[in-house]
Amino acid sequence: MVKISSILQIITYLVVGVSYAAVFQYVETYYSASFASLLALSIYLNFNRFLKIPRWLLNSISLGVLTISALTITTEYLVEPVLGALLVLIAIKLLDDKAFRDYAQIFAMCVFVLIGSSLLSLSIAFLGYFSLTAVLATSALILLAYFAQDSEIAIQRRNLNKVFLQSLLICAIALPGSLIFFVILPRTNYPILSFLNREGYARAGFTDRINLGEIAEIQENNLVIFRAQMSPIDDQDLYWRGIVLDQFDGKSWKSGAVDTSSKPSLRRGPQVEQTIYLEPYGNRFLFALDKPQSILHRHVERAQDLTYSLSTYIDERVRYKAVSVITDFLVDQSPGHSRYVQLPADFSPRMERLVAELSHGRQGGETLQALLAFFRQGDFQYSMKNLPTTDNPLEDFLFQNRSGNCEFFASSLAVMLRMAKIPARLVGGYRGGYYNRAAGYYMVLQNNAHVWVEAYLPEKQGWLRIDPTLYSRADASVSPDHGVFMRLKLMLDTFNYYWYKFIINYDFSKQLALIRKLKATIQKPDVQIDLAKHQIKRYLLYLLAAAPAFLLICALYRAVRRRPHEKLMARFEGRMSQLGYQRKRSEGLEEFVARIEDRRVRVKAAQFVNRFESVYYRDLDFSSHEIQALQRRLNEL
Amino acid sequence: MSRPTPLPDDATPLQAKNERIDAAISVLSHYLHGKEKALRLALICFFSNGHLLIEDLPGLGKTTLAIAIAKVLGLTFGRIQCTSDLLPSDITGLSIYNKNLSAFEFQQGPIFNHIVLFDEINRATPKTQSALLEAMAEKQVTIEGRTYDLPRPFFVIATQNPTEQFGTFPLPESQLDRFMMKISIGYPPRTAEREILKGGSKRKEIYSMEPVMDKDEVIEIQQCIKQRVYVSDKIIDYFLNVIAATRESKYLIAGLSTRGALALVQTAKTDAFFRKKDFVVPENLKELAQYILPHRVLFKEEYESADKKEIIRSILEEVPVPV
Repeated sequence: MVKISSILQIITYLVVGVSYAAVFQYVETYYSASFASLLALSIYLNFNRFLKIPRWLLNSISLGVLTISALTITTEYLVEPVLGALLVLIAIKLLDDKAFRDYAQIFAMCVFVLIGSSLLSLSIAFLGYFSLTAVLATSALILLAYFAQDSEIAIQRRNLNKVFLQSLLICAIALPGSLIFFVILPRTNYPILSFLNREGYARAGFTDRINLGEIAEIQENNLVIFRAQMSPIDDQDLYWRGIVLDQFDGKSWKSGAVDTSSKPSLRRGPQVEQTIYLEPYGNRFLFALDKPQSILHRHVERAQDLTYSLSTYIDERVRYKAVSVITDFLVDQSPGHSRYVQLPADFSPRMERLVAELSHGRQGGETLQALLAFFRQGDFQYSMKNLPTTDNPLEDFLFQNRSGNCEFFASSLAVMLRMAKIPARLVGGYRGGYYNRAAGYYMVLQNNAHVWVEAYLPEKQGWLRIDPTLYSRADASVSPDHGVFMRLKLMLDTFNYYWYKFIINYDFSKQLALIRKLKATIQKPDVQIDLAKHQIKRYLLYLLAAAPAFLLICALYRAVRRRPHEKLMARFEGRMSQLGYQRKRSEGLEEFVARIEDRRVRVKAAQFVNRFESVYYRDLDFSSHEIQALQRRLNEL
Repeated sequence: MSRPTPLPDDATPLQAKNERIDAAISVLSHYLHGKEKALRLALICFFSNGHLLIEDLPGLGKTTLAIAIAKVLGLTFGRIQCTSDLLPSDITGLSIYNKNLSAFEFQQGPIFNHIVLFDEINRATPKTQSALLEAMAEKQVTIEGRTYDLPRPFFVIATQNPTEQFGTFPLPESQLDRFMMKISIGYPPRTAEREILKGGSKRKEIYSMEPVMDKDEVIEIQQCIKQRVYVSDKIIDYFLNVIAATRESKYLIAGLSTRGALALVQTAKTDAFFRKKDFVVPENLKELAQYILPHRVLFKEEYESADKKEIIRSILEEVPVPV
């Protein structure tokens, strides 16, 4: 027997936990902190009933929370404060005495929080949270009906299971029903209110102006930036081109005027087709494998430096097809590369001296080799920590720290190339990715963000991709992390991928097409059965092999399912038959015990039987305490 | 919830009532040497609200048993010696003209007692037998258009002599069914008989015996057994299996009636209570079946002369108990 009130408590905390899990990444830390502490307090108060918080105090706290949240609300920051306030209100509600009405309020608020979370993000996790809340809240409502009658009422464990099964059934019927709406109604690609939150994305992702050290910020982000459906290629070719940065002001790189008039031609090479699902990130650039020959999207604009951008900011998930030629060289016969040698006036004489020294007596390609040799032999270290932040961070990097991330490598190489009058530019994008073999796509995370250099070689009339970061020691960006967590993340990401692919990105015309196809298949079944003989034999063999396994599983299941009284009885009878007493099937336990000759055994057996009967024939459940007591008696036998 | 919740404040009165019964039995044992088994069965039958049929030779203490039970429970006792010229009104009573009141006045017969002993019931005519059995079933009698309730508790002990056939009217099976149990006292063991021979009959002492309980307490115990002793569904299923086994048995023409099944449950409850338990176990039924079943079922002709209790036992052997 379990008290309904305590089950309700547990369910309530579970529901609250689920709704918190759905929104915790969106709400401010102080909401989270006060929610957590109030929750802990309420759990403590459950055990310590003597302490009671006066209602006026709770009410004034609630009022305070509402005021704070009202003050922080702006038109662009609307949902999060409301969710945070709701969370705190739920926690306060938990502190209070709970009657029917209070439980119902808590559940309602949890559902509001969950719905609120769908305004911010609509990933597959929402479906999980939603189903969990639905099942839990349904069972809680059933139990509440009992609770309303008598708050001290207790319920048998068996009946409790029934309640849970019933609510599972209710949800199992209701949720697929709501799926119908899912198919019929055109879905919004992305949370309805996401346009309010562009700033949030802008903070995490490439922009057309990058301060030194900013990429490191992007790299700290562990979120998925895009998924590329394609066949796997060599790891060293995994450069995802996004943005070209050509103007340097000493501390930051900027993307200059984009020339869309001329068309670059590509060297021949293996072509790779990709379908890319790009997450919203707050800029206009589309990413594709280096060098993207074409990107298919309605509003895409292609620049001469092979960057592709949309006219508007990407604030919803975008899907596009891209075709890339895998090569590190880009032919460019257009004149005028003067802007690629631009540098701020009087920028770092120290670097000038170094470049002059390195390029002394050398021409074009040789200078390039000399500069690369400098990086190769310079014992530079790749690091994301303690990045130089002084007035001239590049000098700092080259002459003192000798440690930095890809930006510093690429920037200093590009600047040095420009000092040697070799046109150079920075390319921003991503490097590497994690291939999901199950679903056949690369998952690329924000921490794959990378910058490399393209240098113009006049003798070849084209841009060559150079990645100086490769010359560093302990190059973390090149060797992808294949730890357990990454594999797990990749595995879980499969669901997300299919969710976006088939649910979110599915449009109405495709649904209609699917229905038509289904209809046609039903009308004209076109299933051919031409199993070869050996195939049939093989299947039969499988079947024969599977049958004993199936039986074994059934037997195991039955053994596991044996109820406690069956186990106890089996043990008792086993022990008695060891002693030489066999109970007939028609013999009652007392009768059986009475005919035992050995007095000591008879007394012990009678003790067991009496205790067993007083539970079993009263139709009581065997509590763990009772089972232990009976086991002890059996051990004494 | 129908189950008895085993709370401490519940357990005490049950135990207290049990002790009263123990006290009654121990007092009675003093007077009824060697009849302990019969006494126990009679009390079970009594507290299950049933009637008892004792089939035995004369002179083995049937009357003593009946009087002793009546005395120890503080109840009134009536006795009717059945003969072939006994009329129903001899049992129920009749209206007699009262000259002073110039009206008919109802004179209660011996049936208006708590415990009524019908000696040699098979000597009475079927008409008288029917009147008696009707009274037993309805617990009321109707005379000259007026209905009189019999006192509660009402307990009939009928006796019959198995050997005498001449000039008797054997009870038909349908009427035997009205008796909850059929028992026999049997000869007392040698030691008990020695005591009797040495001390003489204790009939006189029985009449002056102090009662252990009173009428209200008896009714209370009867109610308590009915309501507080728990019968699990497993046990009910077991009972149903036993009943089905009697109906399908190769030894029997007709199995147990539903009234008989009800009697099984009631007596099993009382037996459990007598054993200081508030729940029924299969043994309660197995113990009592031989007193409840044989006179209610019809044996095939070839088994008529066999030991009927043995046959019932063999039927029970085939039914597995719920464990």
